[in-house]
Amino acid sequence: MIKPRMREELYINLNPLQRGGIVPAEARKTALAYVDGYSTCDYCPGTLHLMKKPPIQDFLKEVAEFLNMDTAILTHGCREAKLIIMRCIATPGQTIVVDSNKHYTTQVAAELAGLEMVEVPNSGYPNFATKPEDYANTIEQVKKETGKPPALGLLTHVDWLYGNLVDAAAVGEICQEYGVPFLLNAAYSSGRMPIDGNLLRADFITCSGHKSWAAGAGTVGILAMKKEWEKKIMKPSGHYKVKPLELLGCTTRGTSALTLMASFPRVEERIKNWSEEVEKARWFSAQMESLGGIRQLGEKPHCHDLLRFETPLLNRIAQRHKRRGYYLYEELRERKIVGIKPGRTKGLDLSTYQLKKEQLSYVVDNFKDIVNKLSGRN
Amino acid sequence: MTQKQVEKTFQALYALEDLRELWRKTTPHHKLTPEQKSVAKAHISKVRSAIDQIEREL
Repeated sequence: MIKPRMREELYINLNPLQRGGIVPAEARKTALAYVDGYSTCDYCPGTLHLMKKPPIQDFLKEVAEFLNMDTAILTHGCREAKLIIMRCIATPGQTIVVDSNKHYTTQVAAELAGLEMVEVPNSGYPNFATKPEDYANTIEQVKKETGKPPALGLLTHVDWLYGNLVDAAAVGEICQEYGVPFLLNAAYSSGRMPIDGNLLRADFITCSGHKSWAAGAGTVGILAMKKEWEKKIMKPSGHYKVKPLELLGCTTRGTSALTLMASFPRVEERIKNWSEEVEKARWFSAQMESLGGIRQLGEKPHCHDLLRFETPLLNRIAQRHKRRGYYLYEELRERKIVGIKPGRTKGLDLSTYQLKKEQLSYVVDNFKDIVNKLSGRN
Repeated sequence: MTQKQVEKTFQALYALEDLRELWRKTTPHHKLTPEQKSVAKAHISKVRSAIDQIEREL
């Protein structure tokens, strides 16, 4: 029998990939009840997004409204949503513009879709900031090199490396001015903070249920779009008229879809507390930096719970420790703190999302304790 | 009779998920406040009641 995973119940988990995807009790109950294969399909009307029982069709209307877009559909994840969009609105050989802090799946999706990618540079060390105006420069560059504007402009709203939140409205405005469709990758933003697709002038928003919508039980994504793109995205199969071709008919047809639905009320509530999450992250970052020899990278003041630190202080300890870099992971684990990659001491990525102040204080106190114990500061 | 037993099985499972959420909220030391202890006892009571009813019907 596979051992149960009790990580969230026994430890403080700082893993930035996982914090936004922790499933609340009510959604776990739904996951349990719908765990069987094709559990969504008892009353199948022919395709997933038209399902009335369970009320997937109604849910998708609520999601579109929540994001202030026209239409929303389910996908297997954010990366799959990006690929669908790239394949539908661009043709192989065309060029797209993306931020250099993009998730690796943006690159992989573009590769699979046969697209060329030109990157909007970031500001480099230590902020690695993406300036919206650089989208205009990069679009101009593409126009000059290819003779036409890019087929798509993609922005990673909050990147996975530094947790930088980019002014998406400014990027949206630039893309609109150039007539370039704008895809907002909201994997680390939607589900955590309010997103208004209309205000941001997004043609597409891609979301990750298991990353930021408290919807584990597998993987699930959302592709939200403006009405003008529906025909292309939802183009039916030539052989099966009810089945959208790019979705291979139906996407996530089981427990992860239902978990997303069951978590949605919690998500609608929690985005209202986003400013508190940012406050906690800033507090935590300041506390960590006060240890000395630790520096938060990315933009400051920081506007997201995903934090990356360079940690020469912790790395110096690793040079002399018999367990080398593994000392940190092991010391933290002993203190019931997990989520830091084993062996890493030159830098840390972590998230403070949805952790209470007392829990974060506990984490800070234990970092202090480890440093004092092992660096001879006592 | 069978439907009731199945429903009670789910009730027990759901109450255990509520208890599990309490462990997540209070991790890592699970030092419960008096209110939280009452909540935990209420969940356990629901589980026990559901299981008792299943057993009675067997």
